[in-house]
Amino acid sequence: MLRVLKIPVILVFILFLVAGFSSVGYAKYPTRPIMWLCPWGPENESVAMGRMVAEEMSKILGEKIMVNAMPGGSGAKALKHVLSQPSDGYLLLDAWVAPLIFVVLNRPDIGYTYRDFEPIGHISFMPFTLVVRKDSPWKNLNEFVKYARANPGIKYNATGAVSVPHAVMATFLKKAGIRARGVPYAGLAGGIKDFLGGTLDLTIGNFWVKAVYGDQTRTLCVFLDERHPWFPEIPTAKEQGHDPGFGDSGMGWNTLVVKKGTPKPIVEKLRAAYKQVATSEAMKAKLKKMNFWLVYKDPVGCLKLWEDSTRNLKEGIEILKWEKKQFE
Amino acid sequence: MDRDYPAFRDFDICDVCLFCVIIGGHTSSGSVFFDLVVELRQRRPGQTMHGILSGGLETFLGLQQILLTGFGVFMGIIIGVLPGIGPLLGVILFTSVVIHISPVAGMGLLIGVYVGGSCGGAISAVLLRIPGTPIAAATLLDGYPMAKKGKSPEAVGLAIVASSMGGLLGGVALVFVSPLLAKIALKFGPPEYFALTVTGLITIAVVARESTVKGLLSACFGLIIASIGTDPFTGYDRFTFGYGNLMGGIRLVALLVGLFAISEMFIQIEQGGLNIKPNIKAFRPPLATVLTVLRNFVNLLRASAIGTFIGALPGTGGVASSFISYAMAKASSKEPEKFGTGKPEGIIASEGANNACCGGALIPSLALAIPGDPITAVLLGALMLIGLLPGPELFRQYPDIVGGLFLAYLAANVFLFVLGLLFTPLFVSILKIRKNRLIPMIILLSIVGTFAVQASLFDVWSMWFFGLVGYVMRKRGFPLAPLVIARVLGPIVEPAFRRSLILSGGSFSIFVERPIAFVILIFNVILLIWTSVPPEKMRSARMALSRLIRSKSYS
Repeated sequence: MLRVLKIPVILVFILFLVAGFSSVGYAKYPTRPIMWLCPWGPENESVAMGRMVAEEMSKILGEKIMVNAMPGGSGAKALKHVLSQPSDGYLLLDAWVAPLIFVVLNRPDIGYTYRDFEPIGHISFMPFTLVVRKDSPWKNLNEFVKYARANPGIKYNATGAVSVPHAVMATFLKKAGIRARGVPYAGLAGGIKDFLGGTLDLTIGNFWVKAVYGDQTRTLCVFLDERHPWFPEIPTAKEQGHDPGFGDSGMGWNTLVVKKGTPKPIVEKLRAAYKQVATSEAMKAKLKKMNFWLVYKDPVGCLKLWEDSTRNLKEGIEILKWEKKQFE
Repeated sequence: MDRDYPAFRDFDICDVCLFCVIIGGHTSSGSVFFDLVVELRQRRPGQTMHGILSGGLETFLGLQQILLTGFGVFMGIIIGVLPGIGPLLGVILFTSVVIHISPVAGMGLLIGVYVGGSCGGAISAVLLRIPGTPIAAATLLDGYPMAKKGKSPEAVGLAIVASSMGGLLGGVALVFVSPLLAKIALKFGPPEYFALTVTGLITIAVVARESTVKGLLSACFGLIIASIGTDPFTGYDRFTFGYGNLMGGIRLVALLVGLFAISEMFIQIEQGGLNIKPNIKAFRPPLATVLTVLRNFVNLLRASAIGTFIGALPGTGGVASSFISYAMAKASSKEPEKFGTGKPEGIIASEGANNACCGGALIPSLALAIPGDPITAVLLGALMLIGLLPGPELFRQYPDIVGGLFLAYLAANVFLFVLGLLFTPLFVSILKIRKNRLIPMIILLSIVGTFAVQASLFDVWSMWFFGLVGYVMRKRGFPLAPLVIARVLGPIVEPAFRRSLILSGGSFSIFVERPIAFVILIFNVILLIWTSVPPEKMRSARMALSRLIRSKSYS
């Protein structure tokens, strides 16, 4: 009986082999679900944002895109994971500036650089703001700077020891002649509680902080070159004479990438699909409700941003080292 | 109910609840009391609890809301029972559903999953010696021995009743004093967090009192494991050996499932008897457990107070509260050495606390928009997706939705009571499955549950590794609970300590200058003294003290 079954079994086996290799055809990409990896924890807003964008892209590409969170090492774990997987176009990465540029500058031994990734399209920018409590005595930036210069040791939320918001804040403080004590917390959200409770005097914030804690806080300025269209009433640090000097690089941002070496046709297909989603007014409005400022940039623009950021943020690292020595 | 002056009736209830919570939370600070009294006198109409609750009745009393909350609790219990998958994953999965239904119904579903999931872990802890969620690890200590004695329905019933009643008491605090508790939570800075997590670490000594050296070794191992990963203060890696996968540290879920589930499976296989059909008698839902819990009402009240209070502190969570509550119950019991052999007080203390923690975590989330734990962070995200911004604005603009959320939480605990007790026979019938079928099922569920958290195979390998570690530890008599406590508290206690020193510029005086931290640290010293005195000496000291008090009262 078993001998009769031998031939059908061999045929089924060959069928499985053929089916397994059939996904090699690029023109038919994608043939199975794609994963979108986020370098932060599952409760982070960027995961929810990723889900919204991924849902729209799925409709265009015809396959489901699953959003997954992989926190660790300020995002470096997710980037290293992507580089350890095959470059077959089935793993998209939401690369934030922190792991892509900043961690590399701080730790050259991390094992990758931005040149290992192929940009699909830029996603969003997150401008930083300077926030104090409503009950604090400083009504605007100049009052605050005057006070802080006279009273060194003011405490603020240094989001993580080496992070972009911290670098921007430290640079602003140094250029304003203020010596302040940065207390590391787990990102912006980690320090909000101590900031509201009075343990910290000020914090770096973003538009999400303004939206959620607006009635308990006062935003003194935003670190941009021009006032933001959503909040024209917030003055920029530049116009009040305290520009940290980072320009576009002084913001949080994220770019959608894949591993370098992914076949050209797949990359082009992803780029076209993402561009369609990211330039739609509906998606912009949806993300605006979640306080995400969707700004599409094409791959050339992405690479330029990466190079500019690498150059500009280098100074930030030096200032962080300077700040650490201040209170030793 | 329009009044332009606060009614005296409102004061009474608020004050009583407040005092219970504060005394249970072991804190004191003159300025805090003053602030609270001032706040009570400034209560405005429309923000009275009657106003919020009656508005909430309108938004919550609808078929969709009630059914979805009940469904959420049911799904939550199942999610909690499954090892690896916990309420966090459940809430994340259901968030995408929430956008398409009415706000209170959607949030009711999520809150139901949260509440049910916080209890479900105890069921698998009691029946299979596997905590389905990390917060049920303390329930294991007395729940499993009780089940082993043949009282599994009672043990499961106790867990469910204690959870739902503890959660209801936490809900009372949520409804009546949340803005005030939130204010207290804000006063807890890094030094206070350090002091409180030291209390949590000392509970290791209380829990492992009978095998202290091995317990402490286990805890130190847990602390080392907790330090694996990228140091948030310097950005450098610790104990990763250049291995990228370790940069995020060892996932708690992988550790828990491996340490408890996989090691238990190894031991069960070793014990043999894989083909025996267990003889489990049929029984009705164990309603008698309600009387047992009511007889231990002081224990439950204390557990609920501890759970609510620690839950209201963002970033702490259910594991710390359940172990601290368990340790308090053991410390104030007349027979502390019986803990660990199946005392109902142990289950009541642990489960009452970890469910009250859910209500506690909702306090800073709704009142201040600061999430109490990762699950409430996802709940806040869901609220924002619906278009409601949490925080004081929510209380002012939509008091009826806030009331609906309060009622949803209370209803979820009632559903937990009803559904949990109803389904207890179903859960206990798991024990009827022969081991040669049950063990592969559990291993499969453990692998899937561990993988599902972050789609990471590395987590699954960690799980197997810690399964081996757990097996060796159990064979050699090392308790597992201290490892879990240390692994959970390590990432809280170390940053809190370092932040405190950065804030004070390197001076230890910050722990003395801040009154709340100082009081908690004094309490820790007292607790340490208690644990280092042997039980017999403690009992004779206690008897001498009571004789002294009695003689003084007669004179």
